[in-house]
Amino acid sequence: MAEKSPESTPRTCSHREFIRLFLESERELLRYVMVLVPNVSDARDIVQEAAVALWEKIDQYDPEKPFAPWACRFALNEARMFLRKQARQQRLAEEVVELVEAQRLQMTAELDQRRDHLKDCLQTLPVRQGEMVRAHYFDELSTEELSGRFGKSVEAVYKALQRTRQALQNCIEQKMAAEVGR
Amino acid sequence: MYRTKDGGGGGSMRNEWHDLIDGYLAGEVTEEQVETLSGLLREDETARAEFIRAADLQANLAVDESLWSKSESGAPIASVSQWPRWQIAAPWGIAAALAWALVAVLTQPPGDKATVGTTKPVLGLLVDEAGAKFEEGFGPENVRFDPGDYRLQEGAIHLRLENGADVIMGSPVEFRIDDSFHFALHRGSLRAFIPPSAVGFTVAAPGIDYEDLGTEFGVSVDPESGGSELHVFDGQVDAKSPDSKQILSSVLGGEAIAFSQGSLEAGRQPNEERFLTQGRIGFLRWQQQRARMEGDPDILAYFPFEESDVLSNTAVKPVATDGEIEGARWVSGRWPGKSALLFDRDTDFVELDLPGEFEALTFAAWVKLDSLDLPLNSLFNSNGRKEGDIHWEVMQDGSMILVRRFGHERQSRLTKLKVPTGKWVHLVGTISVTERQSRVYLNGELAGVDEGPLAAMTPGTSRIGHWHPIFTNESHRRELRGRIDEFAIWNRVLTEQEIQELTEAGKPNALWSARTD
Repeated sequence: MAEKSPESTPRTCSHREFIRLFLESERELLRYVMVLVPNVSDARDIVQEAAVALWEKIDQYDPEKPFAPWACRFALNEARMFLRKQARQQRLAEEVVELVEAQRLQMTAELDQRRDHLKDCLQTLPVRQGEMVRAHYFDELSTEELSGRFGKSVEAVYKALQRTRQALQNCIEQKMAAEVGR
Repeated sequence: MYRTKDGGGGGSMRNEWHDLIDGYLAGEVTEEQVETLSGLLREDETARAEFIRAADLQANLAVDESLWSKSESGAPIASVSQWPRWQIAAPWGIAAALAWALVAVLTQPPGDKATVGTTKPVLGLLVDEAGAKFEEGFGPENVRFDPGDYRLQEGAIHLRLENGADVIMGSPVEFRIDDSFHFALHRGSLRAFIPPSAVGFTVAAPGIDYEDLGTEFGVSVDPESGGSELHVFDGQVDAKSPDSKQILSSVLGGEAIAFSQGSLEAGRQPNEERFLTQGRIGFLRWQQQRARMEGDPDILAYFPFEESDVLSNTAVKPVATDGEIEGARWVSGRWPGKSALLFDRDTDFVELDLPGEFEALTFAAWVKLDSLDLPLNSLFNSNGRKEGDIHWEVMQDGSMILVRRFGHERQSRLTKLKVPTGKWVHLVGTISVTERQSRVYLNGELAGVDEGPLAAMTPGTSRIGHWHPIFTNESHRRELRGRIDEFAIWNRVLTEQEIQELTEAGKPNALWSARTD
């Protein structure tokens, strides 16, 4: 990387390096944003917008430090701007958003651990439940589409997803507790 | 969609939270429920923690593809295939910033490969295309080309390989990529541009290999006969036997050969027309975009600037008249084959009539300015000085303004972007009575905002590249110095997204950067 002189800060990050850093952190940035904006396609748009802002400010990034925590500031900023454009009635109050954001940043270590356990816990789900969760969250099928595919009413699908999420959280809790005991 | 549980006690309070949180995260809540949730999260740190865990769980399920695979952890580059979700049939839709950045990555001389890290190296990227359609199962992963077989059924593509080689192909073409130095062509034609870093790039045709030593050549294969042709435009290409690697012929720039049934015929001339160039792809891209714009129900005028006696308005439902050309000359536009009008004298202009009254208007043009000599440089001006007139101009310092006349032109409040000279740029102005705002855009980016008109606009008889004050003899000097090769007017305000799509669709070539700094 180029040396920094007192008078000038030459661009420390090449295009190629930026792409690599951004793509590696993209998942993290989406996770940060989705605590404020749960809709995944809105979140993707927001992270895309953040990419532009990140590139413009890339000179402020210290390559010695990890990229995602630095970049998430921009992503959260874009998320807040997005929320402001939403109708007030549909979104959480602004001061609540700030509280949630601050707390989310403090919980990073715990959430990363939970995410690691999530992978194992998904393996323990019955096949149908696993398929339903994947179809809804990862493949972005709506509850209506799932109702057609799985032959249940929309309400039943909603409840099944709710129970599965609960089962996953319980499994994760157990693993977290077991770790403490060690 | 959720039901509150009756009864008190800690357990059922938690259940209430869950339902409320779940409902919110699913996007299925009423205003009242959102308010309740806000109150809950404001007061209770434990509830906030629950909320965050639930939201993060949902986020992981949605974005983390490694959760669903058997392997340890997914390679980060795999996420490229999920984002953006790009349909090849749709207009070129990659966010301009990232597309530019991706291209920039590959236009840099390939550096130390070790710095790329442990991510899977990108073999080739699609950097430009015009109406490209691949056969199902024989297309790239979004914009990424991996080793494999490809069949382009429609349109044209420009592929940039990681060693810097550019390969341009038009349908129908069937090819295989083994690695960034080895292509096989089964059917159709390709043109390759080979920089020093890609010397040795080889195209295998039936029974013969064509190995390039730099810089530009074309190969075409006839699948029926198995015969192939090599046209060398610049540099040198060796035709070799695939088995023995023996050089059968060294073909230099300005020469072409044909190979068929094991025998080589030399002494031909290379034929430029048969092999697509990058510029041609841009032009093809433009032609498709043009068809879409002409059919837009909100478009009042679309001027494709095709060489002719008049400037034709080719909108399907035109409202503005054709333009009368006075003095301006036909020259070349953004691509070979695309024409433009050059305005370089005080008396050069195009005059047209845009009758009617409008609450909102958008103007868009592709312009290449030679200079900004005058205080005001006209893009579009209503003749005379009447209420309801429209003035769209570039100021001497590069700021753009769009106003409905009644008084003086005011400087835009936010002119952080200046129109540069000497390169093709996309200029757009929107003006709206209901929004009370006018906005100007440079290459899809907001460049200025101004207070808008209070009453409807009546452009009337107007000039492109000039202003005619009517009541005096002097021209009041707002003549444009530069060329224009496309001009369009809509009766509504285009969104930033739409404007960016227009910029993307009309960009001169894959290396053209929207950034002007």
